Amino acid sequence: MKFKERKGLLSKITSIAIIGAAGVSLAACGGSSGGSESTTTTTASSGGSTESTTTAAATTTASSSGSSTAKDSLIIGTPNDTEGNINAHLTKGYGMEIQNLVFEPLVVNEPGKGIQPCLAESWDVSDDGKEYTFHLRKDITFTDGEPLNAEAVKANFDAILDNKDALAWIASLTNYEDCVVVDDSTVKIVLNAPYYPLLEELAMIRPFRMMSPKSFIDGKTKDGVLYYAGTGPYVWDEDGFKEAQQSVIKANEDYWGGAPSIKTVTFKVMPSGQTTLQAFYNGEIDFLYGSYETNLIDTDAIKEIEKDPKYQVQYSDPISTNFLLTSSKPDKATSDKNVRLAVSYAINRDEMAESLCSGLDIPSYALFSDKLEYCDVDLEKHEYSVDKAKSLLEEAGYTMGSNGIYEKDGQPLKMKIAFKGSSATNKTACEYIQSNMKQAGIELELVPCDSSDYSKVRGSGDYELCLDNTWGSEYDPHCTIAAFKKGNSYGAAVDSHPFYDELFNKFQSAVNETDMSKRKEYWKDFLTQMHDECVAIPLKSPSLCLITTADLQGLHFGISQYGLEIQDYHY
Amino acid sequence: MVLRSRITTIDKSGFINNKKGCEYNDSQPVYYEILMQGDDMKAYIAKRLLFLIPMLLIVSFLAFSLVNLTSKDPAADILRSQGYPEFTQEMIEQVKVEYGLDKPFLVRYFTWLGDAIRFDLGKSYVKGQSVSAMIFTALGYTMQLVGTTLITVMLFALFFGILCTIFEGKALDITVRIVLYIVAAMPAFWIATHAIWFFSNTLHWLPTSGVGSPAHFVMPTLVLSIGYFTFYFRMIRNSMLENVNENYVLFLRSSGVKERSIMKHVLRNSLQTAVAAFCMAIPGMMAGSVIIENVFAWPGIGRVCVSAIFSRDMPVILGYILFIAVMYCFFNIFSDILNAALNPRLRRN
Repeated sequence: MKFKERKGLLSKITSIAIIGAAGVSLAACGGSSGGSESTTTTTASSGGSTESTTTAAATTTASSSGSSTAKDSLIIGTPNDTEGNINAHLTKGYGMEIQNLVFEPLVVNEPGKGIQPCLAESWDVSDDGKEYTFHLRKDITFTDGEPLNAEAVKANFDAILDNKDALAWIASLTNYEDCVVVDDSTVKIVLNAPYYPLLEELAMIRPFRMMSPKSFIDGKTKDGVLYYAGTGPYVWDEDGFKEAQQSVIKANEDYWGGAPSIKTVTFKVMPSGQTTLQAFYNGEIDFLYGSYETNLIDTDAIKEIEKDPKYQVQYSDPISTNFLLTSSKPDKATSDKNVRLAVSYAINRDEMAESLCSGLDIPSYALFSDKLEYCDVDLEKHEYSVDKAKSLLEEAGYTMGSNGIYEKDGQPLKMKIAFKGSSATNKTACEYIQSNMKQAGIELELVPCDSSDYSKVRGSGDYELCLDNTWGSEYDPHCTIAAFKKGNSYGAAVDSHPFYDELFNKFQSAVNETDMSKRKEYWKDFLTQMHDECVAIPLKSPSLCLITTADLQGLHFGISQYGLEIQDYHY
Repeated sequence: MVLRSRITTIDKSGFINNKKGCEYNDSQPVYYEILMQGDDMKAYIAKRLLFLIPMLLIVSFLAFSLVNLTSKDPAADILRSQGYPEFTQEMIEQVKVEYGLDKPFLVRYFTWLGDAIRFDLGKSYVKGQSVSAMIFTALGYTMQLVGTTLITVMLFALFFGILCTIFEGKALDITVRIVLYIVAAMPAFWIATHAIWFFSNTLHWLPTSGVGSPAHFVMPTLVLSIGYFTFYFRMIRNSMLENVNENYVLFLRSSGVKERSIMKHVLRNSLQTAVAAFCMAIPGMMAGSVIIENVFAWPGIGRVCVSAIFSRDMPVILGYILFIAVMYCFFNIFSDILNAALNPRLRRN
């Protein structure tokens, strides 16, 4: 009855509202060709996702005519924004892939080949290992027209040296004495002590890449440059950059090594892994890369893509190693070698790699992959054995308590594991280790830290275990090992041990040695002692995973996980 | 006499005060009030704006204190965010002097506040850019999204609110309410991911993410609006049901007032409660778009804030908090003023 009374009024209100809502629906579908039928089909969105996504991919390949028909561009999905800063002399920011393609070093480090010529076509090392003379390629110019000559190289080194404080972790800079212009195409770097990893460090993506001196501000680069000009196969596209959206590089048609086949590369910022995957299926991006740690996309999704002939998935050799630092501080249980060994034996690395990362990471029994130079050393394999772990703990004076946790002097064996809490993969790994430790009679407390607290905890040694990873193939082993020196980030793991001096004398001898065979011997001794003392417990090694369409050819991996060699790609 | 006076009131004000006003025997007070409308309104706005000053002072002090409390060693954070992997105590001291961190807390607060009043929120530790510029650049994108969401929320809330009022207690009303109740309970990121899968990968209607064309707005707008219109439509429905059954509707109709005019009054009166809550939703949308911005790769302020949190970029975090707080204060007052405009009795109080 009531309804009838107000029927006239309400029918008018309704008609207005319906018109309004229809307007919104039309607006909502405005950008598409589908019309306003969207509401009727939304309920079908659940179930059968695998099948549907595959179909979607098929349609996309056929329909995404815009970028694919030209076949000379590549859109890469990346979680981080370059923020428009690709200054290669600084070691911060997320633009390493772009820095690698825009700027070039004197020499490059290639997987399996070692140091190879780049801007320097050859080099000589003096007998005392203190002078490196580089003979530059002639007729190379920066993309702003400036010539690449000895003066330009010196200007770059001077600018880098001006920012020495921020680059303190690069050991060659502490040994660096001078950069001397010998003639127009010859330049000499003088060190105050022999340091063999100089060439490896010069080959890193940053900071030793050559930028046009004309772009420097008063001969300096630490506070920015006027513009970006390098000698590399690609040129930074200032107009293409959109903050928090995308960075673009274009082919350098005058590149001395030949113009690249892929003419435009867009790095599209996609913070959510799930969206990245959907955008890939939809043809909005055609290239993805990353490791399990970077939360690239779901590991199951990678396996699905692998089965689809329209796509290809490639894996690199291990790029680094996840490991546990063990505190050397005397009040920590891990100051006892047997306890450290017990922890190492108690970890089921095979199962960890398989169950946590679907096999995308491989189990590691040594801190560095044997594929790295100087690291092919025979080391004792700490094969998973709870019994062995328990007997080691008993050897260390612990007795099994009533609750299944070992005790010493009435105190249960409790340990803390510190890790960066911002990463979900870290947390999962620590939880797994926690269950392993429990089986061996060790109670493990998880201590997630934010990045600032983490650095403090790691530096102070206020942990028993601390989850970290090696710096990566282009820095290993020397940079990672240098971080174990007293006062450096990993120092607390070793500085209180009585064998510290002995161990690091070996390292110092290795980096200063000019004779290759002796250097290898020093490294072998060092790595063997480091492993036997169980200072760092290796866990697993992530690989770089590269996902793209099947028609992209010429894919290969650089030594760095950021070293995409796009200049060699082609359709 | 009484009846005529009431009709006069309606004609002059352009709307019905509300049911209680109509129930008074003496119509005089209502009549005077309407005559005084302009002056009342000015005084009311002035009062509310003055109230903004202490409110902002408290908010800024709280924000500054809390952000400073979270950082135990800001100088080390600055060095770390600037890419120094190792640093000495000497470097820390230098940074403290450079960024004024060696000064007492209150001195730092008032310096920061003085700058903030001039729209200078300092410089990002990480990027070295002006925080105000960073926020306002990203704000453009967020406001575009908030704008479209606002329109969508209003239209959907009205549509479903009115629909459910008409079919009150009927199957349609119950179904709509149950469905929207379930939809409201779904996490936004979950809906977003499924929407991308369905609209982008299955139907190929819309782009998955990013900005650039009107089509890019559709999914983020709809997903962001779900949490709001599923709430507001209930508010409108309840309010309308209350109003439609009021005596004044019956009275107006019996007095021969046109249906269109009655409709205007009913809607206006029904919207009053929703307006205040709706105004407060605007800063809520700005602050709450973080997840949506991340899922849809939308370059708004939510993402600026998230990346600042990860890199402990204190000036940016502080700037963001202050901005959102100011927005809340502003919209709070705006909603009060709007309410006062809609309901003159509030002004009198």
